[in-house]
Amino acid sequence: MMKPSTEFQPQSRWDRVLLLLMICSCCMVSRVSAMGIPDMPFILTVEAITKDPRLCRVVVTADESQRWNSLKQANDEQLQRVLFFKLHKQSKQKIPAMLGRYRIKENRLEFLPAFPLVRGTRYRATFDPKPLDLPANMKQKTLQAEYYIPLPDVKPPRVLAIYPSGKKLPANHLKFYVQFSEPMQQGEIFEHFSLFNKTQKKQVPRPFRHTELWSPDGKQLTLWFHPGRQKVGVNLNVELGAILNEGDEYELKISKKWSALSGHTLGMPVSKVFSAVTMDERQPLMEDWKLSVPEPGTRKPLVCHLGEPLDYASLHSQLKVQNEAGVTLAGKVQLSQHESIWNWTPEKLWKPGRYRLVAKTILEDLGGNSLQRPFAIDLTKEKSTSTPLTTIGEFLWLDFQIKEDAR
Amino acid sequence: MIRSRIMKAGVSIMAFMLLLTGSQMAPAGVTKDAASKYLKNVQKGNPDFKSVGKITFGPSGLLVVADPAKATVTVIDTHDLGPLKKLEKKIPKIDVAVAASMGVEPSQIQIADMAVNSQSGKVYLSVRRKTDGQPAILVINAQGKVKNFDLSEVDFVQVALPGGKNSKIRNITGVALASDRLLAAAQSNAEFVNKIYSIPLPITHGTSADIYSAETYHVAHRKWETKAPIQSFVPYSNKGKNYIVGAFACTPIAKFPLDELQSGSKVKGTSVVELGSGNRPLDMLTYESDGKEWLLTNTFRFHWKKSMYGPSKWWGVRVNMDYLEAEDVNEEAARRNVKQKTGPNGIEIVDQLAGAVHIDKLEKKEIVVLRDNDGHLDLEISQLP
Repeated sequence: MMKPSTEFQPQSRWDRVLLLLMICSCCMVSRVSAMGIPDMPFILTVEAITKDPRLCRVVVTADESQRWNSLKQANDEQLQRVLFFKLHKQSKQKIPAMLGRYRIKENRLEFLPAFPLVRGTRYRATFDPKPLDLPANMKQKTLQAEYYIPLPDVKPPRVLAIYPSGKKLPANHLKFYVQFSEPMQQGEIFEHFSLFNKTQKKQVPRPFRHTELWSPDGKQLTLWFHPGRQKVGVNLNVELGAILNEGDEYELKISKKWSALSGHTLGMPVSKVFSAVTMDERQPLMEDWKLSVPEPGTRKPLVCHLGEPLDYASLHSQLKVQNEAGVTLAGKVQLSQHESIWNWTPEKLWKPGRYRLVAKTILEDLGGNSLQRPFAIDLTKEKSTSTPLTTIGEFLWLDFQIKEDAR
Repeated sequence: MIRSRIMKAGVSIMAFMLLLTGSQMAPAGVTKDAASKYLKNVQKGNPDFKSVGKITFGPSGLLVVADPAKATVTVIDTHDLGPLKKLEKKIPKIDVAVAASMGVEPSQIQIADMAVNSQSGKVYLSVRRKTDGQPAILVINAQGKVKNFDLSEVDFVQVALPGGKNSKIRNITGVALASDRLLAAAQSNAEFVNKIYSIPLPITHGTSADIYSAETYHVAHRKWETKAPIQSFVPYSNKGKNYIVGAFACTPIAKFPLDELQSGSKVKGTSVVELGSGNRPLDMLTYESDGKEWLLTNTFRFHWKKSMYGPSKWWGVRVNMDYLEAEDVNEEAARRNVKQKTGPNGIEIVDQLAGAVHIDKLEKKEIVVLRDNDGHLDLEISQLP
């Protein structure tokens, strides 16, 4: 009795989009009606509201507005007995329907889902007229309509980079930055990560700190080793040992099953192989840095040799160049030699004068030792010798000068 | 016994007194006064959450919502003032109903937090759909029905944690509305930095929390001073001084002084109790029983295969609050005896918290527990010892 293809009458631009989607992707959207049954005066449709097919409404159109009289004072639960919207596979199960708002407007009963629908998911709307106060001779057939939004036709996500980029990391290494080509699905992501000890041929149990730290655009994840195991003297470290053993080779693996927000999975596993070398418990010292100063009148980079790889994110956010007046200059950071060289290219030509490379003291190395303090301080040893702890927001700097071109 | 003045966010003295006297929480004046005491420049509309994380109730139906993605804290006047209708029965597999309500399967949602409105008894959940990050605040009524808390037209104030859009704060680990301020603990997504934010009342929409600690430290094993993120906390006052009592990722419970908190200052915590390694503290609250005050926390044991404290990797413990009187760097911080169910004196595993993924206080010795049940979640009321 269902004749969706002949009965679908595009009424709006979005209905036309819908029709196109339906034709193109087989069973993506269906509109079911019982027109042709003279005693079944309802049509059930699922309509996209905007260009975004995830935003839709379910509509039951009656032949006359009085059909809804018995629902005028109904609450949501009563309305839900008449019209509900569920995952297709759950449509016959006794579990709640999707939340949303009901509205009766003239001869239409509408349901607007409270949340956008999910791509790649099949839904089913069900209209059951039995609770309505209909004439006895009127057939009370249940109507159903399916709605499906395919995944977007885009490339699968990719891992663009994993920092640190080096293949030798200190045994007290703390964190990785994993960069993706597009925003990934968040929430309980750690099942997608594992660490394999290649030397001992075994998985490292629970190495990661289960706290998701994402960049605002959702494309960069900060993946921490559990600091409690990497910090000397802290309970986890004492009881379970460190995560990395000096001299062993490891493989950080990312599962191919992880999906992006687009719904597409990575599709292939990603890994980073590295060796654990001697622990780094020494603070980086700014006085050890070596600056190569560019010539005036150029936009050549200021090059700073850091002497060791420092933290990728800190190098982008905690270093800046100021002129003599203390004004921070605009420029672009590029890192090289596995994050051990900081290159800074100014937006404008270098002018002769005095400058300052300013570092926030929270700038840290791979073991979490910052300019301000080591990652952990042994109070029994260092009381007399340790640098007095400064407060966050303090700065250290290196002065340099761009001299007049001698030519 | 110490004369502490503890306030679990969610139970104001005023609300508590009204509950004790059995008054209906209806008078509009109560809400207005509370709202004007706590909120300034109230907006009407959609707080436009990008994400939802930790939530907690303040007095008079004020719901505090952390948005880690936007690095903001929002206080919503829910106007949910009761009367009190407690959950009528245990609701099995509430995760299935929650997921279905958002049009997905249970594995596709994450319940970030749970807060109980002690005035109405309703349970609020902050939920995100993993498939697309869609955030939601859902409400469960006494019958266990899941409703949407419609965010399109609410009364709210929103404050940014310093840095705003460009802030690197990406994980707000706790929020609480104390009698004199809004508190938040948050972590950076890059440096191993933890901050405590203190926002004085009234909380003014559009402002930025400009009083915050630089970092938090604690001393481990009487020897190592390290930075550490606070996982959960409650406001606490004693002898006229204000603190927060927080649990670190590595499970010491420590208290931090708030009165001298200044922007950029370093805050050193006083370790109070060590619960044992391999645990991630989840929620924290206080209650009174038999004339004693207790600090209650549930934690997730992530190295549970190595050693379990009970039938579940989620378990909980109560600590006599006399321990909070410790001064300065407490090198003698009590360490829970991990081999025993109780001990040292005043530290006890609480059986009612076995499997407790989230807890919040309803009233007196009653809590609402979201409990793991073989991969699903049951919602029920539990009586504390």
